[in-house]
Amino acid sequence: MTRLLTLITLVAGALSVLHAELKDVVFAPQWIPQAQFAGYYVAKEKGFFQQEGLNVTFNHVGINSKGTSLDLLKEGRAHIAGLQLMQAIVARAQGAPIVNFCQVTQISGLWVVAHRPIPELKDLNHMHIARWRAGHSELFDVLSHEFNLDIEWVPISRSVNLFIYGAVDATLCYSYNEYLGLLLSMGRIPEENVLRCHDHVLRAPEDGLYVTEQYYRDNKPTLDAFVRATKKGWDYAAAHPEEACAITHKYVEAGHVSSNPVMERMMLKECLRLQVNPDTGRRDYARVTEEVFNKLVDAMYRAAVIMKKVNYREMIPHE
Amino acid sequence: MSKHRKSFAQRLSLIVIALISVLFVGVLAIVAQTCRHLIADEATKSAANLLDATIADVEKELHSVEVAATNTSWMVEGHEDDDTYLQNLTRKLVESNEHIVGCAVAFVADYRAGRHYYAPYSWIDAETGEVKSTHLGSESYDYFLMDWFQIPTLTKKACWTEPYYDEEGGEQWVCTYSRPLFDKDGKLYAVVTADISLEWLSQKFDSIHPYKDSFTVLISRNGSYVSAPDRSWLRGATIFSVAAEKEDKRAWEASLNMVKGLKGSAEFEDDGKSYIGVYGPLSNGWSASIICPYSSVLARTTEMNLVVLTVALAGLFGLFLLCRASIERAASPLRKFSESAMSIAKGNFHTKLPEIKTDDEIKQLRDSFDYMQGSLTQYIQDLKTTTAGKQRLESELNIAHDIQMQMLPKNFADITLADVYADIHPAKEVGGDLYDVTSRKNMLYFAVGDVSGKGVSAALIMAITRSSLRFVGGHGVLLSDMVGKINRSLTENNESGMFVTLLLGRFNTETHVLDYCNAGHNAPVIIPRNGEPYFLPLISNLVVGVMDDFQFEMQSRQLQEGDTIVMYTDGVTEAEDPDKNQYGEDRLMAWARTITPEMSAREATDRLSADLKRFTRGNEQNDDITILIIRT
Repeated sequence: MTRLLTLITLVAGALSVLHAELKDVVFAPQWIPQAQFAGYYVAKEKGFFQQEGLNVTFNHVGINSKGTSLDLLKEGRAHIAGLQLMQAIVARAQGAPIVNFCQVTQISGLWVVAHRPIPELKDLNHMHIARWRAGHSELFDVLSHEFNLDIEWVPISRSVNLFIYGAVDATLCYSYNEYLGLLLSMGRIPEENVLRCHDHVLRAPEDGLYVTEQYYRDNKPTLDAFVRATKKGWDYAAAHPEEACAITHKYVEAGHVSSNPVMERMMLKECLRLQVNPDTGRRDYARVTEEVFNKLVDAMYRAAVIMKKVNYREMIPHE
Repeated sequence: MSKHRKSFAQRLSLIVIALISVLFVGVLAIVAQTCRHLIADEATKSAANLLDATIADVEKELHSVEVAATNTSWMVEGHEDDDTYLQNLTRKLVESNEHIVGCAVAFVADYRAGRHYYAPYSWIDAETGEVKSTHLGSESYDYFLMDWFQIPTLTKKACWTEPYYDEEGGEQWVCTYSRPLFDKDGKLYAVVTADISLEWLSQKFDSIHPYKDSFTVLISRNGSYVSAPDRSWLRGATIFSVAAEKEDKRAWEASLNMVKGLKGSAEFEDDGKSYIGVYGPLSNGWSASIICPYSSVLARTTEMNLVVLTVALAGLFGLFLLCRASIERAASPLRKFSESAMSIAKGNFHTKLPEIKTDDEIKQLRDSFDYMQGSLTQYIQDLKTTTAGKQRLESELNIAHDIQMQMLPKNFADITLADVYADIHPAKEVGGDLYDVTSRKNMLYFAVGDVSGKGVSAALIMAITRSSLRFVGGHGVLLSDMVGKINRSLTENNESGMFVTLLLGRFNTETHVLDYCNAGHNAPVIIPRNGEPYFLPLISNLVVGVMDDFQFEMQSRQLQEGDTIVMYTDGVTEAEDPDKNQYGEDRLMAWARTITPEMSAREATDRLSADLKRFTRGNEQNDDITILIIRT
């Protein structure tokens, strides 16, 4: 009898979830549609968000909206935004009341590719290096300061063609994005011409999920549900990369984004690699530790990337 | 179900055809391979020539765009602040050049006071075909960061940009020719651009088909497709991303050569299909390639191969028929030989062999057959004669055997003085053993002998000896004298050197005295009625037939009533089993111990014969066996 009652309760619960109105959530990934966000697209297309009672829509910067994902979050045009940790620290230091509720990638994918060998950071001195005008490269400001580098920055939007056409000596690139674009444009990039920032002193995790403090306080269950569905989406993408890329490609096509299936497969693989926690060897979405966070904040403060230090617990609430 | 047997001619023809086929296939493969290479080389050269012509044609078109943009840039000078003029200038360029879908004169930031962005722009609306004009530049479209502005600004050189989707008006995939403008001081102040539609270029390239299913592609400096048959490649695919999907290193290497601006050709595979591609650079850093499926290039070779193969198969079939008919005709005597051989095998030795008129191996075979037939006939004739002779000899030997056996007493019932029985087994049809038993009053005379050798000669000596026994015998004649007479009789005219062992005995049934004279014979066994059997002591006289004046001595022994005298020839003691073991005197003595007083002489004889048979286990008998037993 008890079992029957339990079963009835479960079925009723499930039916109520199915019939209950889904909660609308607008998610703003930090960039245009690409395999960097495959896990979210999979969660949407495979119904993982819906299973958690969420109706998630995407608001892509550069496609659906101008500005950055942080702008969308601040302006209330997105409930959740994807941001890089250092980008978020800068925003928080500037007064934006945003908090991190999930850390997706665990190491930095920021690399430098040059036309000549660059075994050390100091080899970048006096180079004309392309970097994004929109940011995403605060780590280099910190490293430039820490290693006293003299670099002539050339702002770019999102193209690596300046580097290919020889208009700059080097370019910043992300291992999962511009680097792959370069590889598929040039066919071959000598290993000694690549410098990986992760190998140099600072550990700077990148992609994480952010909301405003207010939204965090009022919608904790929603955020938990979003994280559960997201993890499920990434796990599915890792297990079914071809399907995940096919799903991603629909978003890429819809956004008129210049891409190709090979690039998307390679990007997904690299993004999954960056999600692996070097301490555990697993994709565990580990929260940034206070030590890593404070070390990063101190370095940013020293480099004047931020004018005010950010409190760990305020930025990454633990409750 | 009967099994179909291939004839000799059919098999030989098939072997010949098979060998010719292998040879033919080999030759055809070499010819086909050579043709393949020649045609592939020709196709490569032809495609390369076509590519050169295409590149020249495209460069002419692109050059016209470059010239138009350059002319426009000259017309900007002196009118930098005239917004309407510049707008009309861009408009005219688009209207007057069928390949240009957009034109802008974009000035550097803050070139005009109060205007951060200043870029008059005209374009053709892709949907309506109408030429429209506007100004580029806004916070959301910061043209200072666009490739078409940034690259010529930084490099100070004119360039063709990578393909991009024009979001500011054109709403299509385009490439832009950008030319920087410098003032009198050499300072860059603006960039003039002319956009061309990738669709236009693709349509132009789509018409180039040197072979069925061949296609032409045009790639930019960073490997992006400017023109491709699959329009989806224009939206972000690079030559390397396509090569990566083919998973063929040769395609990747060829792609590297193309972005390096090299000229050449390459073969690669895609989805199990072989392709050959030729590529060459354009002067603006782009590269074009014509890619042809091998199957299309080699279509004519395949057709030719099919024709050759069909003709060859028909020829082979005809050759097979011809071969079979020729071989059948050449081999027809063999069939006749087969019939003749079968007839000879059935005993028809005079069967006529087929006539062969040719002077070849068949003729040699016929001669051999003829010789064999003659030899066989002669052999059979000889065999018949030999067999008949042998049968006659066997018949005569049987008669001799019967005669010899008749010379020996068989009816022992007439002898009442004692229980006597004898048995003889010649090793051949006739033998050299002999025995004799006769009685007179109370005396029982007996003899056992063994002629040296076997067969007919021994049988003749045996007959002489047997006759002599009766001839020399008589009342009162000493046994030693009898032996002496026989000895002299045999020694005379004994040129063959044969001799006889002989034991003569005389038993007085009243006194039980045994007289005996031995001439080299085996010692008889005495089985006392009560007591152990023993060998009768013998003087070692000479055998008879060797020395005519030899004096034989006689011996005597007192026996008891009921004693048994066992005489035998050496065929008994020297009988052999399959392992060459002899029966010997010990076994004879063992047999003697089994003889009881109740047994008759015949029973005792049969027991000894049976014991010998058991011992020899069917081994061939080497010597005559004779047993004579007297129970007193």
